[in-house]
Amino acid sequence: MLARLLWSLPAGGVLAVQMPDNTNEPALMLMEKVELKASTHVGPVVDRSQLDQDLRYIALGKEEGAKLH
Amino acid sequence: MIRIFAISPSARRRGRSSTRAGEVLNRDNPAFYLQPTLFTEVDNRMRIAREEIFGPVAGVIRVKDYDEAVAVANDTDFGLSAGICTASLKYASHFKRNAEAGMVMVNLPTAGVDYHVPFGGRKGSSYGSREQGRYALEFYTAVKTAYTQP
Repeated sequence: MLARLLWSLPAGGVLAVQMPDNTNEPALMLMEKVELKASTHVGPVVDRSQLDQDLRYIALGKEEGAKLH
Repeated sequence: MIRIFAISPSARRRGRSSTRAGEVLNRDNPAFYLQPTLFTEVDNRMRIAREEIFGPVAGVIRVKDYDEAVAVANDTDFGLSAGICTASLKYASHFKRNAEAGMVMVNLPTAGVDYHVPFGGRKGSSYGSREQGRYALEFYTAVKTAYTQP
């Protein structure tokens, strides 16, 4: 079908295809599996300060009266 | 960020976590994990609703109808990505046109776009042109005007 659509395009035309949600595709599931392995090092992109910032916001939300779930 | 910080819902469904929302998860690998956290009874004036948390922490703001939902969603200094969950094509189309965000998702997570489409936001969530896609040419181009007198 994609080939037929491509051939039907005029000169210089563009075919845009929106793919459906793919978070359950094998490649992404494999990525999640690797992330959770004990031998996996996430790397320097995340440090303790980011986690601490999240914890401060969680405490702030409680102080502001929001209900935690 | 959720992929880095949090145990995903699918992992939780598989019974890998017994901690509660907002708690740090201690795992064997050297990383920082946080249980996904959801706040309800949130007001749009609260700091947890107005500031960027950058972690698996979300808030639910109760509204009376679609119009108020759009108004609340747009009442922010930021505008990277917005999403709507609906079976109504009318509301989906209206939201795509009226959400003040650089990216709008219908029935999908607000994170993650394909590499060939423009990535970027509005208001405080973007600066200059879009990354990715055709717009990346402008994003990575430094324009210079030069005159030479012979």
